[in-house]
Amino acid sequence: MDLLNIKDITVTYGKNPKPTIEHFSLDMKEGEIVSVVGESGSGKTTVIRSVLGLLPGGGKVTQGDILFEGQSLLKLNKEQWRDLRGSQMSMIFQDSGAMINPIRRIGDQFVEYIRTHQKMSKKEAWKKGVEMLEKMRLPSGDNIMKSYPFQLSGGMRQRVGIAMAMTFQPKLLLADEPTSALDVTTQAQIVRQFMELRETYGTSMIVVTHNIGVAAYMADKLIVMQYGKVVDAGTRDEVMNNPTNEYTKNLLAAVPEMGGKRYVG
Amino acid sequence: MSVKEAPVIMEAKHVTKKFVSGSGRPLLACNDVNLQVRKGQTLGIVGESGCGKSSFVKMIVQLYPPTEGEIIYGGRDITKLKGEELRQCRKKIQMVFQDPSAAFHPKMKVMDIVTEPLLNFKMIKKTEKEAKAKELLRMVDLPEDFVYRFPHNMSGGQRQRIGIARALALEPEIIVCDEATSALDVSVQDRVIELLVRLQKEKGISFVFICHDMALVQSFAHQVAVMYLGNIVEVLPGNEVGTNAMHPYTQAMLGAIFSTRMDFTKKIESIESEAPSPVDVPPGCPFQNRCGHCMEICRTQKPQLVEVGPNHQAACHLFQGKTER
Amino acid sequence: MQGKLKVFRKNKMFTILLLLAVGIGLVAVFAPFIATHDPAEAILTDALKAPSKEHWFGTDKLGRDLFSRVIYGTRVSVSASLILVAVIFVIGSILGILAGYFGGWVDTVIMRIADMMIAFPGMVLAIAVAGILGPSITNAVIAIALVSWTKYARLARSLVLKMKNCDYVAAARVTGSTTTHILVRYMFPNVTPTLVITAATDIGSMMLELAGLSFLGFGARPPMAEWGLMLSEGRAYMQNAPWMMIFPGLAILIVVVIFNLLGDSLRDVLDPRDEE
Repeated sequence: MDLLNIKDITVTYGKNPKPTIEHFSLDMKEGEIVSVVGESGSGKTTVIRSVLGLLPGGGKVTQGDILFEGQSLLKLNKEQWRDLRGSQMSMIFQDSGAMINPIRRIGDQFVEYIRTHQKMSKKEAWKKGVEMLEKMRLPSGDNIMKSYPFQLSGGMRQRVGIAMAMTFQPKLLLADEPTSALDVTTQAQIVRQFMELRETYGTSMIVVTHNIGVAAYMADKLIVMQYGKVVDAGTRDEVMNNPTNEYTKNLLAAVPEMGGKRYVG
Repeated sequence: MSVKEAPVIMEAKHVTKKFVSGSGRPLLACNDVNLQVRKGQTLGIVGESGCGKSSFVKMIVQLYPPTEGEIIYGGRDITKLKGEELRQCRKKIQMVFQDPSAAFHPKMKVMDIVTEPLLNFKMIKKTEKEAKAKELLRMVDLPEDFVYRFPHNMSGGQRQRIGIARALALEPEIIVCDEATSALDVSVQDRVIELLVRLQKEKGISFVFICHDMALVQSFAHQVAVMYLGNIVEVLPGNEVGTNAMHPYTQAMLGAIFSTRMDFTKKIESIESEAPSPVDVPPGCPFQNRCGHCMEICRTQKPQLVEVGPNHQAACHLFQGKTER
Repeated sequence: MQGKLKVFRKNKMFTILLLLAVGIGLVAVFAPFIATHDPAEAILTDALKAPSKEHWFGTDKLGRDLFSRVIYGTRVSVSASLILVAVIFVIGSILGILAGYFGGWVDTVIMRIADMMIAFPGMVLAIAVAGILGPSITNAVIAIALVSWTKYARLARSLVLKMKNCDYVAAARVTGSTTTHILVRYMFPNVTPTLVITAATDIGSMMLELAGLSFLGFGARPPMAEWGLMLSEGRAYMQNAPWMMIFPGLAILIVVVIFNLLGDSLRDVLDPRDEE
């Protein structure tokens, strides 16, 4: 059985007659990584938001269905969503610092997060948090737990975000521009971290990014979107080496490359 | 024209900028920076966030003065200019900002934005405003009727073109671009860079282009300077970045680039750890803690920029012996 | 033009309050036509008469018609508080913008003076100033202005500080805008909406302070028809002739409430920043 089936969904916001995404389909096996690339306004973020049931006000899946391990996500009630989010699937944002409360210590929030999903004492939760942070290559997890978000660098905050998201070893990880706010050397470290997650835990991922290099490196399957529609989809090699669509070709050509197109003599 | 032939029109000499950080400790944003801008050429400055590249260009456009050092332009040190002299000097050095949504007065129309520099210097009459604005928009490939719009009703790429049109208005010799394409989609970025390069060829403008994307910078910069924690660690011709970069930090950055043509099965290289905070720069080489070639001398002595090839300098103890060619 | 009209249609509350405020202004302007008697005409035989058909609000201890005095009082109170608010608005915002934009010693001097003004309880300092200058409505305005401009200066300064580092202000400098141009075209228009809201809300409280000074004998002098002064005159007759306090008090209440609500709804009108 597939882990996730997105069946021909259309998402509309409020009274806007034009759907944000149209006829989007995707089948994912366990342990697979799918990258969704596109420029701003292509609807790529809406894809993962609909999977996680987190469409902002007025957004609705008006057509199609989303199945997670064969079960429709569109029919879940609040209780069922709470069980699913965090333990079965979790999300990582562009800047994890933005989703953690800036005036509370990392540890307090981590412990609270663990305890909403699993019954355990504060001490055990703290230990679990430290353990997760260290697994994400954050040295001295104890110190990190005692820090405030602003005391950490962007890369460290992103690792904290990944550590929290991975606490319950979800089967599916949804990442929204997970490296876009980072410097190049840090970006490479974080990408490597993601790849290790799959090796260690067999986690499946949907990665949404505008960085085509990162998307291609991580992905088994690549989806290219434009104006809410899928314009190209296939395995990484199919899309990267033999793009069928004109838009994909132009997009690939526009990416600056070392030793590639030079604008001046 | 090769790098050497074009005359130097601006030169930064020993530019140092100290800030006092929130905790009261000194923060060395730029440490003894020496760079040259050549006529009609592009100087790219690459580095990660906090490396001091933005502080450096803000001194070029004189938003604030350096703590030490001088910037020579037109035969004089422009950092010492004051009042009307400073204002007159601004005519020749313009800037394009990173975030096109924050770079314009929210209540001004495009027409007023792009002609404001000209009105500031009384170079046109109020009645000529509309015609001049349309002319400027034509230069950046925007439809003329955009003059009646507000920037917030435009796309990111269109807004950035407005920013370029404003910078062009005074016909400057140097335009500083602070991450001018970082907020844009790749295809839009591609067209904006093409526009900049075309304008450079037509008008002989020199660009100082700050960017964190090495692959982008090397594609159109004549010279690329790599900055790390306030120091210039390497300067080399743009077309040699891919093949000839020598400094371990430059190589680390190159190794961390995700490319559409890379071998996807190979593990991505990256140095571990992150840059220390700029208030905690160690004595000796700034890159020592992350460098795979770190030697004893790197811990105590700061390497100087030395010539390692034609138009190519690096600040690393690995090459200090090879000074004389 | 149509866009302007839409503002009124969308903000009914604001429109109503604005009409009421205009109404108060009209009362002040056309006081001679509304008043039934000469407000200064004392007919001692009519002293302390209760409200009646002849004297709607009754008469005071000198037999002057209270209704006419309250109507004429609008002139003094409204104009004095409007002038007061205008003065502190202009002085406060100019000093605040200068302090914020230039920083350094300009900032230090202006803000230390402001601190000194804040260190004293406002009313006490105003009483002291009014005491030195001598009691008159003009001096009361000066006294209150001296202690009230600081609020505007602080507000303007903090807004300017926030804006000073914006890209578009940097852009203005780089494109060769003169400092005056930046202050007038960039800083001033950006601080005014917030300050105008504050000013509109302040009209009410300034009126109260003026009335307070008059009540204490440091503001308007008899025989001027001023609400605070009328309250003070009525105090001695509170038990025999309560109307002497009730009607001026009501007038103050109504006007203060209208201007306060107007200030609040002005915030709703001005705050949505983008005009599209």
